[in-house]
Amino acid sequence: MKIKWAKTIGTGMLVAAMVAVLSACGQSKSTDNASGQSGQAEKEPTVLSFMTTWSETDPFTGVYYKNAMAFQEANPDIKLDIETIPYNDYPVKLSTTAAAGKLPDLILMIDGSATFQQIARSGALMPIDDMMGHWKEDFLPSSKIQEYNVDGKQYGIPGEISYTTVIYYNKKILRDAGYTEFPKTYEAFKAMVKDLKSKKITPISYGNKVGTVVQASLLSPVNERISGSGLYEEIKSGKQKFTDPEFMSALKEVKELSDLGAFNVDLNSIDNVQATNLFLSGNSAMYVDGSWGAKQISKDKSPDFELGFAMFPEFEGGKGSLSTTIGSTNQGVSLSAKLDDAKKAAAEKFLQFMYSKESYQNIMRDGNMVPANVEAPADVNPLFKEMINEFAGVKEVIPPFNIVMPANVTTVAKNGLQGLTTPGGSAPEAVAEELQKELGQ
Amino acid sequence: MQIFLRRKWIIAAGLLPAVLIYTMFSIYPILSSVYYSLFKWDGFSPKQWHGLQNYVNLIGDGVFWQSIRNNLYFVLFSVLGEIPLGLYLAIMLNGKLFRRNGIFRTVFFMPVVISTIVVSLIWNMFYNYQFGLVNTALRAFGLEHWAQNWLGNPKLAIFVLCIVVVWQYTGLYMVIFLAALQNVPSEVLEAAELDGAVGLKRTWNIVVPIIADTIFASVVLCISGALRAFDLIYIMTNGGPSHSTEVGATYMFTQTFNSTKYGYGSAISTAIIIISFGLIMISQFIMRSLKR
Repeated sequence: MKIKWAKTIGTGMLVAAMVAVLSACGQSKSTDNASGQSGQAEKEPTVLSFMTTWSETDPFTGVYYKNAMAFQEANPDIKLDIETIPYNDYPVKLSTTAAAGKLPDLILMIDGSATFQQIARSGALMPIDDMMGHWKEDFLPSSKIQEYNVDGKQYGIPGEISYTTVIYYNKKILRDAGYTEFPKTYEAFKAMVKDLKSKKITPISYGNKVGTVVQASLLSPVNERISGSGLYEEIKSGKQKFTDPEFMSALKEVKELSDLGAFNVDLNSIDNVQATNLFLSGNSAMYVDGSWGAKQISKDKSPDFELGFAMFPEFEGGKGSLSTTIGSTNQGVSLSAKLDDAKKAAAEKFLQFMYSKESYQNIMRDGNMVPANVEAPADVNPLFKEMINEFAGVKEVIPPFNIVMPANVTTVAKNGLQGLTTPGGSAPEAVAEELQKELGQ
Repeated sequence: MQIFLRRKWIIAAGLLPAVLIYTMFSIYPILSSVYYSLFKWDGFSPKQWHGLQNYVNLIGDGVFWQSIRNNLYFVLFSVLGEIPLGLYLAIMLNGKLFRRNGIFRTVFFMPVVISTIVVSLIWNMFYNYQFGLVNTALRAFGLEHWAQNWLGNPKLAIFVLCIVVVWQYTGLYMVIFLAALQNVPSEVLEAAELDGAVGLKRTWNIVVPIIADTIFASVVLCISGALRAFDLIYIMTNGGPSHSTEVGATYMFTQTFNSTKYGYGSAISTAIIIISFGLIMISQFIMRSLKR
């Protein structure tokens, strides 16, 4: 018994000693900090926490990161505390932190999608209408920033515009197959697809593993060409249904293209980087993706690769037109509703810097279109210039399916379109019914 | 008596931190998930009371049942693949031929150590339609019509994934069995040998009954592991194409976080808990009756 007690006391003393040592460590650290601070400057920098996908080495967002670093250098009294999340994980991270009420001071909104609108409506974001005086209408037209506007309040400013449907084609393959010009009508396009297939060439490569690519770059343009630009709003307001003939005919076109063998067999198992490589290695005649795809293509293509750009062809008798294209505005930064005055002032400075003429020119120089009216810098990528020329006649840009529709509907569309484009997969009627059911919930 | 009582308190005090942590990170989330499953909630706007409607929807949801069926394929492949293969490898490695050679143990155990992300990426390349190892080999042998898009074929994809899982985890059970085999007393084996039990007969009648408890424990581990399957599928196919490789956990994840249906997702996870619990009970029952 005695020995036991001795043991207990011994253990107790040991624990006490450890606690003392540990707390001493903690103390010495905190005193270090205090002396360090008093030695530095009198004014503490305002720290803004910032959740984003921007990173220095990313070909798509590197320019934003560099702009943010330039801001940091110009404003030593403001400190950005950046948390970088990979692009593919970002939507989940965003919705979970918002649901938990733990949004940082600055939040990147990749696009003005339904999730962004949900977060804005929940009151977690701060409207920036009182700051909008920094951007004049002739510099930044309000029509081009409306995707970041929810119920009449502005929650951010986009950094770039991207077209979600650009047909990149291999001029040499098409020339060898007898096509010197890209077909302007959908019927001619389909005939070309059939012809290429009969010549044992994969007509189009897609990388639809994530499931949004076919929504944005095939379903959306087909919808627009058949029904014009108002279809999605009509479906959302209940005037039309997914099961009505207009939307159905688009689904049937997608299915028909797939049945013709227009796509690479593994379109639903590879991502867009792998699909780009298929195209660049001459394994497919065309590659369809957003305008952002041009960056990887211009970086990875061999010098003798003859690249062509085309818009999605026109449907004869369709309500859409070649002067409309599908696109969205991206890379806006939103403010948390919880910012205090000092942080808000710092955030205002940040936005002013990030969406200034110089920053927009940097973004253009990197190969992006921007919503602001700024002159293109002289040293812009020639390939990018060529692409812009192809789209010079565009008058209207409408958002794609996956931006307009609520998140649960786009998830159903992802699986539905994968089913449509898989041999032995789902029928258009079944997909439309699923979509309509999900929209009703 | 006094000592016993006091010791009880000490034991309880010792367990307390573990119990607290377990309650905080396991029991509480499970209970709160059951609570959320009674609401219609997108994560941002206020929760709406939905009663048992989420569960009613769940029962009528074909994709959910498909994902459970895929989970059962995983369980079947794991129990009938990993355990026998692991046992076979363990017996081989415990034999005279390989016993001194540690390299085989390392080789077979390697997949367990490699991160699932790496495993997924490697096997994704193996199965790639254009340049993957599997299709290239088939084409080289003139079996071109067998070459196909392994992960994109809705009928095959789930089985193709099962092969990866078996490859990944067989090594784990091999090591567990190897440890058990090395604990089989040599006197028993020698006695068996004297009685004329050699080779397969000895393995089946003497060795397997001795390590039966280890095998049963492994089966439970195996079932719960297969029901938890998530990371491999999430990376390799993301549940696609068109739900064909969806399992309970991936379906719960997409419904909750991609479709922002937190209530429905919680209902799915609650259903998974109930189904898993049922399966473990059934397996326990079968094994208990086998023991007798």
